[in-house]
Amino acid sequence: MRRPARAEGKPATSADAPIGEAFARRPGARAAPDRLLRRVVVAEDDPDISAVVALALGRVGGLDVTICHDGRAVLDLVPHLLPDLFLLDVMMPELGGLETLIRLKLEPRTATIPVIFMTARVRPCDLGAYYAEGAAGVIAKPFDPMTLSQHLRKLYAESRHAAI
Amino acid sequence: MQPSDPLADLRCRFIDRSRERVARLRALLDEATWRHGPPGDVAPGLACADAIARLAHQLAGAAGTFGYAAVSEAAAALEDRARASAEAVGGLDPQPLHEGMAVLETRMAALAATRA
Repeated sequence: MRRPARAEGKPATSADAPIGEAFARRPGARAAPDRLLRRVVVAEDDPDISAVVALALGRVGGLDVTICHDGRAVLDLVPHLLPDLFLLDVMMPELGGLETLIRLKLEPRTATIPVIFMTARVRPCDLGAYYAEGAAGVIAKPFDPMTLSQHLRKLYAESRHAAI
Repeated sequence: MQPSDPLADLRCRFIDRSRERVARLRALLDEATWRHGPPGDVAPGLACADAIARLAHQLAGAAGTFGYAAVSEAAAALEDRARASAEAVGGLDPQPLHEGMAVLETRMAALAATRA
């Protein structure tokens, strides 16, 4: 038997109402700690990599994927669509991944949604900065498109487990 | 390329786009070389080096994702050289960038030949 989620007992609010299936709980319903990863919002400014990510997570991984081309677009999207997980590039124009993470963590509706970075900047000092800001994981570039969704599901499960 | 490769179409597009990126890198490098002229006025050349570093970084990441290690490594080496140039005291030294660019162009041409 799984331990209850830390958020258990917290009633869904009206703010939860118009959003995706994974968050569309009945009022008073409890968050499921073993919730499956279904919807991912990706921020990646490179058109080739974003196309690969869309294919790797959508067609190969069977996930519902929304691609944004920078962090600003992610912040513009979240009032309308809340995912189970954010997958962010670090180096992006307009608003980079770290700044986007910080803003997502400041917003109550997105504060508990795991944020995972995909980046070539994976020196120990870089990783320390990502985790210090609250990242749930890091996927190093280049990544294997055929296993990206598995990797993401694993990190998502670990982040859910850590939240219990 | 395997017939069942789900990335096949994306690979073709990537190669076409990468040829354009390499041409853009060459244009930036020529501009950086041309601009690095008078001592004490290094800013224009440094701006080009910074643009080269960013574009090479993108190319390195995308090429690696598609499994084109030779192009990815050459682009990453060019990025490193561009960053070193951009941070060099006394301004841009275009020679290491030209050397890195030549390697990248050779590898990109080899990759493009597989597309033809």
